[in-house]
Amino acid sequence: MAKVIFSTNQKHPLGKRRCTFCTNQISDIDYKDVGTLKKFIDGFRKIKNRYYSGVCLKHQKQLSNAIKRARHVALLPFTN
Amino acid sequence: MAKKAKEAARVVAAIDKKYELMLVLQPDLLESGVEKKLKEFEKFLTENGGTVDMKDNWGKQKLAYKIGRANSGTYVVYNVTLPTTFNKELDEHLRIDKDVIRFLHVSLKDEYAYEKFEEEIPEVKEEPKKEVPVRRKTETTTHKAATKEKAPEEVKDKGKKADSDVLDDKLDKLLGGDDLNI
Repeated sequence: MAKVIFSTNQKHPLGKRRCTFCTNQISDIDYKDVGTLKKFIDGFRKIKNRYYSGVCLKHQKQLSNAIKRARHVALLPFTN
Repeated sequence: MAKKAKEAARVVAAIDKKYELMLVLQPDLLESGVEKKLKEFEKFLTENGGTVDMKDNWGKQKLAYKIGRANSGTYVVYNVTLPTTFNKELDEHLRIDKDVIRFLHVSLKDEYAYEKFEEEIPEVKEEPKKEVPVRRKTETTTHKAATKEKAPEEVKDKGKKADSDVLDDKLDKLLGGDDLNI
């Protein structure tokens, strides 16, 4: 798999934010890909808000589903 | 009667679909035990009209949180095609099994291809190596100082040795000479 490039969405104004999954052309988010899922998790291990991560709605739904699956199989923690 | 007819209709409508199974087995099982377990499980799948397309054994890994008493578990991933009527039975079978701590049973798209993901860490480790030689330089200077301190002591010892040699010669002369009459 190609390397996923994470854009720093915090620096850009709201209108110019781009979804990281759209820019990297990832159609389906896999629950086994723990490295990328960790980027979208809080310090308290909660799922980051779409407002802060800049992910589009379509991918945010996939992301939350993937993170919940990874939590169930103990690849990711529920809490800190 | 209507219920029975509906059930019959369901049975007829069995279609094969792609699924992904992830099993987390107990950490107490040995490797031979795991292989036995998986062989039995594959037999169970094939007996009920399923086929195993792909199997990947991740080995023992740490869990993100404790499950019962277990801190680690062996992860196994299967890609299988199963008849749709078999799913409930499979879930029940895995739920009852004591060697399986957790399992995930998910449907897949037809064009799905399995990928193995690996975390890349070594880029971070290169930076501290550059700092190490600077510390070593400071250590070498201390070594030099230590050698400088040690050097004069050796000279002193040599002087003492020289003095002792002279004394020995004098003693030999005195003893060897005919002046002494005992």
